[in-house]
Amino acid sequence: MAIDEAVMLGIKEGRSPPTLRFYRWNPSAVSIGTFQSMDDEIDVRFCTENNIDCIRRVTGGGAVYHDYNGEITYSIVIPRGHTLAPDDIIKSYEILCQGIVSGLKYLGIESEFKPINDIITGGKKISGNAQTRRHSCVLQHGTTLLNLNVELMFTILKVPQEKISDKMIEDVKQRVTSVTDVLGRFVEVVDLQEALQFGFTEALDIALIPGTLTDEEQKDVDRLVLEKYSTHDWNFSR
Amino acid sequence: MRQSVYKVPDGKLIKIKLWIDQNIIRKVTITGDFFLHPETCLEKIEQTLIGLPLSEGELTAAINSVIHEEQAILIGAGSADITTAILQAE
Repeated sequence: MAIDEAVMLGIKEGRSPPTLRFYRWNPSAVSIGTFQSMDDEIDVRFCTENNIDCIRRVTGGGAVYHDYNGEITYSIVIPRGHTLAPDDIIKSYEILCQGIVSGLKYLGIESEFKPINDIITGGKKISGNAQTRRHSCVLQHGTTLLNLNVELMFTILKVPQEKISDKMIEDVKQRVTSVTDVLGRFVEVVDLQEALQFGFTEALDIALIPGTLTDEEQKDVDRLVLEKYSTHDWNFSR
Repeated sequence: MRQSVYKVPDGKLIKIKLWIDQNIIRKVTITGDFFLHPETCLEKIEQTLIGLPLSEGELTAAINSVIHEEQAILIGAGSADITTAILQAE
């Protein structure tokens, strides 16, 4: 989260280019939407005991479990006014989500954007996305599921144990899927990342130049982690 | 404290925590998985609802007024849905 904001600040100040990142969460983490309540949504005690970070995003939307081996997160930051990020928010979701759709196609999965912020395949959600507009930028980030562990997801999310019925688990399995489920074979994280990289390049007609954080970006990251994203005040603000 | 959970038809989830005194809102917390741009607008909505009676028309008008002032965009829910969620709190 801190890197996303640092990149936005860099773009705002004209010292960073539009940036696309792919990353995993180590340790695994659960992120909640910016308007959600951590205590209401997440079993924080379970997460603490199992070394799962609990963090608040800058974007709206729902809680997402980022399993280190179960998903890839992407983040794209573009200056406002760019053709890839029109003012029409749903339209901009649709444009940017084509990167995921194209990446999944590269792996042999047909999928489509489903407003507001999902990508579905065979009627099931395989990717969730969220957007914010600040610091003169549009930030969109999202998750693409590689593997799905519904039982663990329900344990992390604050669903009363007695309510976690076989039917409820089955319901989620009818609504959510993963790359592994669709293809019926194991796919390496690195292969999904490569596919998504190709997908964004093709769908957005962009050239990707590999890079690392600049010194200024890293300085902002360190400051934002300390002052904002690692604090109880931020993560438990609702 | 009163609470509610309201699923917007074809939309997102709104959760309310509401403190009232003699039918007047003393404090309200709005949470959920909806989208609101700019995000800071939600605190302004919560603030503006303090002191208002539990009246559908007044609540929706107050929320609309903040959204208009802030040139905000609510996605996955509407002003009337927030009002519905508040009025359902028990």
